[in-house]
Amino acid sequence: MKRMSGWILCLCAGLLLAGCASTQRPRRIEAGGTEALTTMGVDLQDFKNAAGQLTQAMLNNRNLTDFEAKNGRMPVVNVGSIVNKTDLSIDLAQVSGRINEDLLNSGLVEIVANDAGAIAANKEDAFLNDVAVNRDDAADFYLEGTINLLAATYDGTTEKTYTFQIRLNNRQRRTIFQKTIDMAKQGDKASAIGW
Amino acid sequence: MKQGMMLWTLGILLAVTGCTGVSVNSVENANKSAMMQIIADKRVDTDPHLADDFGIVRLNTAENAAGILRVQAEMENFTRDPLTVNLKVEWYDANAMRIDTAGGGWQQQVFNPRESKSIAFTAPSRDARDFRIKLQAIED
Repeated sequence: MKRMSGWILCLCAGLLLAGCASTQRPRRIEAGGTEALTTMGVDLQDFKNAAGQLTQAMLNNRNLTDFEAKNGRMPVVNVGSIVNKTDLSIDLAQVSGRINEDLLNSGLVEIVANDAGAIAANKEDAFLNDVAVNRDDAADFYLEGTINLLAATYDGTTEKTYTFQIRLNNRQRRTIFQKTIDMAKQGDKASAIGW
Repeated sequence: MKQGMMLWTLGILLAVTGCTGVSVNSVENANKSAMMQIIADKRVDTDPHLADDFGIVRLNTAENAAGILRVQAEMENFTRDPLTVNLKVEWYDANAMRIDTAGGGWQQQVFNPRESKSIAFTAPSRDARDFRIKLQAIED
């Protein structure tokens, strides 16, 4: 009896060890979802949240919402770049691209296309049609922004606050809208390595 | 024996005070000037613990100048502990089809003990007619 229970114990210990030693297989997760990794850097969820909140704020701005009623056409927005003012390597096209897409799909604004193919085709058409001054690239509003990082460490704990800020400027060089989104993260020193 | 009981009581008291956070007091104007359009809601609670600890106490909607739907949810942490929840809003058009967005998705919100907070969401376009707010507890 004693020998049998010994065997059972050994078997259980073996199964436990095998369970612990197995490596996690790669699996698909929801991009930027609740299972995605959270780091001390800027994750996909942060990009999506920042873009979502900034776009929502813009869609409520009276300069954009009232434009069509006042001018009989949709406002044209040129989505410029978001400048990285941190010393980190951050792909900010993740934010500007998402803002561009959601603004466009809102049906509230028109977006200036800045790709080389569209620019070349537009210039060719203007030349062929003898257009003296081509103003197709002129926008009513110009969107630009920055990301800043504020870091603090205390007693082995690191805190990083990423500040996304965007501005909408008009043709008279007036800023007609500005929105700031702060994202703060806290972790121990080990989790902050690499960022 | 008596000393043992006292130690137990002290231990429980310490544990209780260790768990609770600092709750939030608030003051607001009693005579509201805003016209609030409070709407009825339909709930599906698959996590009874979360439903006990946290909830949406009021939902109101409005349209902005461009006719885009806005939703504001007043959320409350019913517990004496800080609570972090994941939340997400899905938008649906007049045909009950979901409207996808590149931004948004799950966002984390931290609630202090007994804190209530109003969080506003703006629909991605004029097409949005309905919405669904999803809430998920974050396990420590």
